[in-house]
Amino acid sequence: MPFTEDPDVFLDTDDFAVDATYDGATAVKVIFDNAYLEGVDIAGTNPVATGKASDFPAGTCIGKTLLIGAVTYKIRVRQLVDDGLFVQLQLEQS
Amino acid sequence: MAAVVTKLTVPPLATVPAAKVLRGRGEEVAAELTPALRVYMGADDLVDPWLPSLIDSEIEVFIEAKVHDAAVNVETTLNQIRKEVNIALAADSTLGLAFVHAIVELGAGRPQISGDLAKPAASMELRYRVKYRRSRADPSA
Repeated sequence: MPFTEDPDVFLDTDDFAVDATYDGATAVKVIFDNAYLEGVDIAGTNPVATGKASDFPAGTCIGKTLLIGAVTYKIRVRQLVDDGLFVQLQLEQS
Repeated sequence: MAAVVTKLTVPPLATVPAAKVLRGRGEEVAAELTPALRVYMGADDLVDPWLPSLIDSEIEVFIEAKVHDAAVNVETTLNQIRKEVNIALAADSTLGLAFVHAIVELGAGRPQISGDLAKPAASMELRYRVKYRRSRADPSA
């Protein structure tokens, strides 16, 4: 018997998800992290967002914007998470 | 080393304010502090130890340029900083010190670039050497 997953239950804004705007117009929900990271001896942060793969189509989402709170990011890398239902997006602050 | 910092801060470089020229600091540079320079010394080797009362030495000087910026190409900024540093240090090759023969540019390392941070981050090492003369009896004189 096939098991149908509902990815939306993992993106509840009452839990860890936040509202975001994809490509200037589309409302999406993502889990946003902005943890400390060091690179080339510069101390900064590494913004990443996890969202439904269907919200961020392969091949077209790279370079698109993702507005989270008041900060606009550009999607730089789209990484599948496990079975590919979700993707992790590496973001660059504009 | 202090004289090198002085040349990089008075007058300040166009790209790196004086307060962001950091001497002898080993910790990471905060992203919000960039563009910044870290200045530190390398080996100090004797080149002519046989003078009667004096010793000639050459000390290495390393200057690391740090940038973190999405608005402009970080390599372009690094090269601009390199140009400004070279101009500042070449303006007075003795660094304003009577015992310094000259500071010479040795070159620059390959820019190290990271795409993991919130904005593109890059670092480039600028290498210099200072030839100076000191007293055999007192290294500070």
